[in-house]
Amino acid sequence: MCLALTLACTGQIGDPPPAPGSPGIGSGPGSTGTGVVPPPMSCTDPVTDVDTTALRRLTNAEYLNTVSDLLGDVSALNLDFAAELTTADYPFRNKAAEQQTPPVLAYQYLTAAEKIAADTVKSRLSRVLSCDPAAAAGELACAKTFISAFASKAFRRPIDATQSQALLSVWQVGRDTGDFKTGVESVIAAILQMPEFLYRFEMSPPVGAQKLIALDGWDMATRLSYLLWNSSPDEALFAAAEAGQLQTPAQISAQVARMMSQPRAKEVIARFHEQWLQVTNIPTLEKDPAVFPRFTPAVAAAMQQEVKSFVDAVVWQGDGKVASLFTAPYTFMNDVLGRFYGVPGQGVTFARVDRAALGMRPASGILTMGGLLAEHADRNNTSPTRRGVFVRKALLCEDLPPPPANVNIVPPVQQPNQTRRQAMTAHVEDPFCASCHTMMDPIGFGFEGFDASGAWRTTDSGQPVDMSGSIMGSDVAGTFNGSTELGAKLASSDEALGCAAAQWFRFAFGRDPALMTDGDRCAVKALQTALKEGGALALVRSIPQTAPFLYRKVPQGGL
Amino acid sequence: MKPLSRRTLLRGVGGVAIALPFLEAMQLRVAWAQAAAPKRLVMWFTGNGQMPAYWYPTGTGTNFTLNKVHAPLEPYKSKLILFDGINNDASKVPAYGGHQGSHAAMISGMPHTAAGFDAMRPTGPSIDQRVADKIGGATRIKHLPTGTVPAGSGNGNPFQAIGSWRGATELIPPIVQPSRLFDYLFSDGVPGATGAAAAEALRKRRKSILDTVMSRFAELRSRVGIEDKARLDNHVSSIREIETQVLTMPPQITCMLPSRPPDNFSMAGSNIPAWSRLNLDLMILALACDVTRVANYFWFAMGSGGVTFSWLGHTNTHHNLAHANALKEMTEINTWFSQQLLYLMQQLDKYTDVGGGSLLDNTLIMWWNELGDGAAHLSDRAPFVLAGGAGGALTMGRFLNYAPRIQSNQVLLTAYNVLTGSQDTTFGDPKYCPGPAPGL
Repeated sequence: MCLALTLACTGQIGDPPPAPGSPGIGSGPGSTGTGVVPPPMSCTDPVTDVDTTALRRLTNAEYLNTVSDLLGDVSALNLDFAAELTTADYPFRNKAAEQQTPPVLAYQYLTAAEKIAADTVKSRLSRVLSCDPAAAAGELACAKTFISAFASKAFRRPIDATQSQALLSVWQVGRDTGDFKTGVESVIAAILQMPEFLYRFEMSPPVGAQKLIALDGWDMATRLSYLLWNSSPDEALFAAAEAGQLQTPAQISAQVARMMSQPRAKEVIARFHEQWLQVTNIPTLEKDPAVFPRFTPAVAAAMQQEVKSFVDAVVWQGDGKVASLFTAPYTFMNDVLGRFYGVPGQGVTFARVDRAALGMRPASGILTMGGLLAEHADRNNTSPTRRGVFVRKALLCEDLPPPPANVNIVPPVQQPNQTRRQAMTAHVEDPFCASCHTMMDPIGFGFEGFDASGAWRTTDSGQPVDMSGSIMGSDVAGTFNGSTELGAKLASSDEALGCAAAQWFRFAFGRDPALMTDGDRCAVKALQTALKEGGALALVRSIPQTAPFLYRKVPQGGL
Repeated sequence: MKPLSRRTLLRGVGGVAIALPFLEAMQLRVAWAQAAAPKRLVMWFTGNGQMPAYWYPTGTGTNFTLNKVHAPLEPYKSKLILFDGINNDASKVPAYGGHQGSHAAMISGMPHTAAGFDAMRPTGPSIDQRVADKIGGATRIKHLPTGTVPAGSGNGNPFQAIGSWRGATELIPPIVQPSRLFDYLFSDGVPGATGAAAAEALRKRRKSILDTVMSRFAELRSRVGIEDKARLDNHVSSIREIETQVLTMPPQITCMLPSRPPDNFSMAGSNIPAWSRLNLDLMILALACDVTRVANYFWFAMGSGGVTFSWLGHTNTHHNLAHANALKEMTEINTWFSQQLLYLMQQLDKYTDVGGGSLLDNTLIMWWNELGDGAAHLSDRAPFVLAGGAGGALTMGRFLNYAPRIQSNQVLLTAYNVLTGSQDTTFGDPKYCPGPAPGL
């Protein structure tokens, strides 16, 4: 039960919660009231400010993609790296400011680099070595050729004399302990631990005394490739960078169009949705087998596939709009999932199905997807609070303060013959708890038609499920009944639309929009317009045309 | 029992003892002939709070009776210090900490960051990191983070699945996969390095690589802003730390090692008894072989998304049982943890340390748990247990019941001072640390 006073949500017990964006919400550390920060009056003036883009380190996924592009498939090496930090406030695994490197990670970088280097030299040397060390020019010349070509690719920019000399000395030490190949192995191991590889330093030179610097081709190629492919640039991008053909909006959008046609762009957009909706690990969810014997690993894996197939369909075949994510009447399933959902007789492979035609109610996109509902639930029971927090934070980008000091956050124990909703009602009736929980639980009640394993249910503890819910304090405030009506509300919400754009901004830039400048806010506004008018693909295409993407800012104390 | 000599063939994992060539070639680095035995620290975290009725002893001083969950430790009662009357007030700042905030505060003595539960982070280093900074440099591995954490536990929130950190964004994840742990401790993951010449060649190559990497960090540092400089500096200091680990070799001791555990060793929740025993054995070997002197064993993620003790016949998670005030199951769980601690103590006791005592007597084990009362989610009555010994610097075999209550920082301060030979007067946030724990 909730034993202590909670002042954080309202300032005063019993008061209705403040509107989102007002000082009670979205202020203080961790504030992320991003969907509701208004842009400056005009976004048409020349850009004078974007945020200092923090130095980004390759994420674990980017590291592995980049290595496989550079050196071939390394999946057999089972490399692993310390998990990246995410929170409900920042669900993406790429927040630059939190990318610290403790000794364990430095050790993992070292051992990974050595394993990759050894494996490459053993199995795929010809992939990176274009010269013959036994040729007349000699080993040293071949080593120099290799270093220049490979390091420039790995560092995503032509190397300079200092870098070249340093790597040559690494090669020489390796050579002295073995043979030519030992030297090459050392160079690869060094490059994969060097800051130029692990971090994305941007080197575009300033023009005059300007603090805002238009990106050169190399920086632009790198930004584009990690945005759209989650990996390093390909030959075509490098060629365009070298030829100075990544400067104008038209040149950039031509590259973007080319890149978006590759399967990798599809993976990136799927990754965004999985992280945004916090459904990245459905197969590792633990559900009480005594309560949910049907939630098998095969079902969990199918649920993950359902989310992916659905998002792909909305984005790449549908209109890609946020409204469709929340309302689409179709989904994808195979027989494993169909049997779990009570509609057996589906095919062995995943196929698109119309939920209503199968007699499945309700039908509203991701909000009726088993994986999402299982993820946002406890092990053996639904959690209206968690589901409500998910809607507030992930879909409406609102900040919710933590429970205050000394509050006891033990969830209510559900008595036999009591529904989850009845057990949770204490939260809303107790004024101490109510000031915050009225922000969360009534939204979550709308999902009570889905049990903690994501299966549709009509009764809870023998009583009919009550799916009536309500949202306070948003632009779609009011009551609703079940996921379908909630989906319709969110589909019409400018706050939800702005939130989706803000989430894309985070994903694209690796930083929290709480730090945004006017230039950043105008970018979010542009993303929002693109999303509203042309869906997710239009939004993604518009990211590289925004000021924070086109420019870098000289950081305070840096170059 | 008659202590085994350090030179005895070690059989810990899988029962098969074979020599690892890389180890045999190691050069002498730590002189075992040193006069006084070094001190070691093992952090021992079990989460989700206690059932107070079965945790705190009765009696006082040296005349006390162990409570139910500590019954397995009766043979080592004289090598335990139990406590009551310790609060963790830093956990209540700036807001009620729940699992995460109490976790952060209890072994750092610092308030947590203000944010939602899943965003709560520590604001200062955990005690094992501070101790490792002082005494960890003497061994090849300064600090060993390990434990048993099934995939997905802690609901994917990394802070719920770690027990060591240097700051808010510097969480030290435990190495939980047995083969990776083995590589980390004993072979550095070096493929195919055999014999002294190969090891020396590898050392040379690594040195040249790390020198180059560090010089590039120094060069590029000037380009970035102040906050990014700090991140790069941190990366460099981490490389410096592992430099010792990967460039110097363990001491010349006949430390025979078991075979490397298979990569596919099951890390399923149901295999925890075998999995944790394997990792424990590797940690014990690392301490016995003086590969490290500071280790952190983390038993499962706390909070929601927790482990189900299926091997005890349970069908509900540890976290849910704690909330449900399930006295029987929670007692079984903590009794099981006591049995694991007993095993650790027994094993350490088998090794003769420098000066003739046992390794156990020079290893301070700090059992901690973020909550005093799991059902009520309260950090008060912070459940510390100290086990083993601090080379005589602490009088073991006591129950200290503080009234008025003291702060967890004070226990941390005393432990820190005795382990590192320091004379510090405060630990963590001084506001919660008026001085060492009285009488400890």
